[in-house]
Amino acid sequence: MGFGRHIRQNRTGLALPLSVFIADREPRRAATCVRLLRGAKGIRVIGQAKTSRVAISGVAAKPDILLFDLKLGKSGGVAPLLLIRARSPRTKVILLTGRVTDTQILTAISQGARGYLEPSRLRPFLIKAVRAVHAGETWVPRAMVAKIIDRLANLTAKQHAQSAKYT
Amino acid sequence: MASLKPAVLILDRSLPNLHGIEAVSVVQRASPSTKIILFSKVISENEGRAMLEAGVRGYCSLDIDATLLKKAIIMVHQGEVWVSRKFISQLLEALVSLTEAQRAKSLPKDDSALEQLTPREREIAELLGVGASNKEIAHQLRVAEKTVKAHLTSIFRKLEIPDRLHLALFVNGLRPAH
Repeated sequence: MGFGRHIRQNRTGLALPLSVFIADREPRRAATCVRLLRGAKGIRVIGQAKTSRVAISGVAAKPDILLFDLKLGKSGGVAPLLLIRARSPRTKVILLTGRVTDTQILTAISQGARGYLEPSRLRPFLIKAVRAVHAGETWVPRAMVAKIIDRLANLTAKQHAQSAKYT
Repeated sequence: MASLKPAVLILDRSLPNLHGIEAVSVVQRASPSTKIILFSKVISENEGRAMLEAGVRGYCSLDIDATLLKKAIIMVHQGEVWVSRKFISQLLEALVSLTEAQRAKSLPKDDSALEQLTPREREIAELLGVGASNKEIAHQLRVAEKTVKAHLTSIFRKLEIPDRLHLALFVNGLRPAH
């Protein structure tokens, strides 16, 4: 399937499994994720957290993928992502979303999240999404792309306005 | 075109006398509600982004399969965007780096704030910045957990920071963008 070249290898040349850390406040959803991922070849769940603090120390293990509940932090959920990225830049984040707004998702994507999954899409797509994001792709529904472009256009305009001010 | 006001316009980028962004803005002035799909050979990342930001809702290569083209037209008409998967990745990366640039600009580097803290408070702030819990900090500094909490309250007040997460961000020179 072409994922092979992305798999890290240890010193003996054996392929290391793709490591996943789950940071989710909702135990049932976390359990679903664990169950689904356990059944997948070459994927290993290396840890779980229910709070952002535990999640932040959990990424010290530098997982390949972090499944991150946007409702995890008290403060809107996005702040821990900044720290997580600073701690482990190689970790790619997939958001677990439920009742969150598009704006919250968009903000998290602006902080480096590579995709998101709504609860109903976990079962059919979790493993696919984990592999795709690990391979450098994104997991964003098409409907979201228009909003990403709008925000991008906004930021570009802001940047132009700022550079005009200084010249 | 101006009188027909189509819902979707397929625009060949190599049309004579109508080039790239200019063509897009001409169409938009003539018929603002028209959604544009660009027919084009390979497009560079920068050009693609500029086109999308200018209002193009999608692009595809000239040899696109008819059923796919139909799907593209329907999607774009519904308000979605039609671009390649790979391009979506590039858009995301551009979004992250622009957000970062904005944050860096809006955040004057301010180490002086930390100087308001006592040496002990600074020590605690730094330990918290590397992810230590109150218990771990207490253990490390050989004080009671209650003492750590009291110091934290004082730190939050001095730096006008709402909670430990924001303090950790602050110590690491980060601040969430909005």
